[in-house]
Amino acid sequence: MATVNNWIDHLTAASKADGVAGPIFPGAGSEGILVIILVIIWIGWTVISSRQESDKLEKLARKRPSSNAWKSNITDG
Amino acid sequence: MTSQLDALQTIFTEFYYWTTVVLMFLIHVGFCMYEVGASRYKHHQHTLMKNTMLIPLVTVTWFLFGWWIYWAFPTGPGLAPSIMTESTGLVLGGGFGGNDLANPTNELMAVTLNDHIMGVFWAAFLLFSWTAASIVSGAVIERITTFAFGILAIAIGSVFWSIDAAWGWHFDGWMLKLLGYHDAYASGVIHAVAGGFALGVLVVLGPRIGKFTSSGEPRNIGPRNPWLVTVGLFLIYTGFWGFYAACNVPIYDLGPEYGMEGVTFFTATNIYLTPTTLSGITMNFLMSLSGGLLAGYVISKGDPFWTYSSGLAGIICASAGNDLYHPIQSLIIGMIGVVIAYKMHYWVERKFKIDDAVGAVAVHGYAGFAGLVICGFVLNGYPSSGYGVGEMWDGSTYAAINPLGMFVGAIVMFFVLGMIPGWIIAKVLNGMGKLRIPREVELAGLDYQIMEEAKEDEKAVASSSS
Repeated sequence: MATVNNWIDHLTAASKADGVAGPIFPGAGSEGILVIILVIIWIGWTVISSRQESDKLEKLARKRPSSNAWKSNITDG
Repeated sequence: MTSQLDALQTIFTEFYYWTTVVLMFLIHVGFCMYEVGASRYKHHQHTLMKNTMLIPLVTVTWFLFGWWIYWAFPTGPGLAPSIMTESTGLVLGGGFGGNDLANPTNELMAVTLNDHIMGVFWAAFLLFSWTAASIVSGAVIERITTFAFGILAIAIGSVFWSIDAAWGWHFDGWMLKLLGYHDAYASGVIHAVAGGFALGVLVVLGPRIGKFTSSGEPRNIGPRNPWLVTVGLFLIYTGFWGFYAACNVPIYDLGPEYGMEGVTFFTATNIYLTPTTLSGITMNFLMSLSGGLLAGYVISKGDPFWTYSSGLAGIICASAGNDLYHPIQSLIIGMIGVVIAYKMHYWVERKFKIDDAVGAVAVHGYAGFAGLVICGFVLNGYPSSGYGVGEMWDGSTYAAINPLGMFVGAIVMFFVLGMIPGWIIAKVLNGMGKLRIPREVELAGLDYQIMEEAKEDEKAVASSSS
C-alpha cells in the first residue's frame, strides 16, 4: 500500500521532474474503488437510517402520548 | 514551488483558506445554538441532531459530485461559451474543468505534493454548502423528518447552490457574461437561493400545529431560549468574517492575468478575480451589520429576536456589492434590506399562511434578493469581470453590471434554483409520506421517547442503594 518508501528518493525524483512529487496517500491509483466504497456507505447509511427513523416515529405515534405528556419526564439530574 | 516567492505565495494562500474554514465552522455552531434556542423544549434534541447530520451528508455528496458541478457548469451548459474551452458544453477540461480539478477520482482530491490549494478551496466552498443547508434547516424545525431534511440538505448544499455558483460566482460563469451579474459575498448565490428553497419546502410542509388560529390569524411561537439565540447569532456573525475572507483570493498578480504586458499588480480579489481589499470589505462588513441592527431595532420596536437577525440581514443585503461599496452605502443598503425582509416576512405569513419558524426566508431570501437588485443600481456600469477589458475570441465581451441583469439574476437565484426545486423535491417526499412527522409525534414532541428513557434511567439511579 505504501506509495512512498523513502522520502529522500521520492523528493529527489520529484525535484528532477519539475517539482512533480505526486500523490502520497496509501494505495495511489485505487481512487476509483475508494469512490465506489464511499457511494455504498452513503446510500447504505441513508437506507438504514431512514428505516430506523420510520420505525421510531410509527412506534411513538401508536402510543399517542398527550401534548402535555413531555412535561412529566423532564429530568433534573 | 521552485522559488521562495512562489512558495511563500502558495503556502500563504493555503493557510489563508485553512483559517477561513475554521472560522466558518462557527457559522454552523451558531446555527445549531440558534435553532435549539428557537425550538420548543420537547423538540430540542431532534432539532440539534437534524442540523448536525447535514454536516456528513453534505460533505460526502460535495466530495462525490457537488464540487465537480461547480467546475463543470459555468456555461449553463448551453448558455454562453467558456473562455477556457470556447464551447458552451460542460467544462470538463481546459485547465480548470470539472475533470481537471474536481472529479472525485482525481489525485488532486487527496494528499498530493503537487497541489496545496485545492483541498482548502474545496473545504471553503463546502462550508458555504453547509450554510446553505443550515438556512433551510431553521425554517422547517419541529415537523420535518430527518430523512427528508437530509435529502433537501443534499439538494441545496451539493446541487443547486453549486449550480448557481458555477453560473454566477465563477470567473467563467454565463451570468456574468450575459447578465453582468455581480454577487461578491453571496447575497444571491447562498442567501437568496437557500431562502427561496426554504420557502418552496415550507409551502408543501405546512405550518406547525397551532401556529394559526382557525380564522387564519398567526400565533407567535417565539424563541424558548433567547440567550441561546443571541449567542448563536453572534457566532454566526463571527463565522461570517471567515465567510467574507473565503470569498476572496488573498494575493494575486492581475497584470499577467488580464494580459497587460509588463504590468505587475498584486492585490486581493473577489471570486471573479476583480480587485478589492480586505481592508475595505472589513469596513463594509461592520457598517452593513450596524445598519441592519439599527433598522431592526426600530422596525421591530426593540424585539431582540428580530434585532439580532436584522444584523445578519443587513450584511446579507449589502454583500453583493460589499467589495466596492462605500461603507456608508453599505450601512444604508443594510437598513433597506432589513425593512424589506421584516415587512415581507409578516405579509407572506398572513397572506399565504407560511410558518417560517426562524425567519430564514426573510433574513436570507428576501434580504438577499433585495441586495442583488440594489447592487444592480449602485454598481451600474462597473465591469463584471476583468476579462471583459478586451474582446473575447467571438467578438463579445462580459456584460457590465446593470439593474435589469441583476434583477433577472435575483429571479434565477430565488425562484429558478431556489423555490421551484425546493417545492418539487418536497412534493415528491410528501407523496412518499416521508416529509412530515406524524401528528401525534409533533404534539408529543420529537424528543418524547428519549426523555422517557432518560426518566427511567434517572429512576433507576435514584432507587439504587449503592
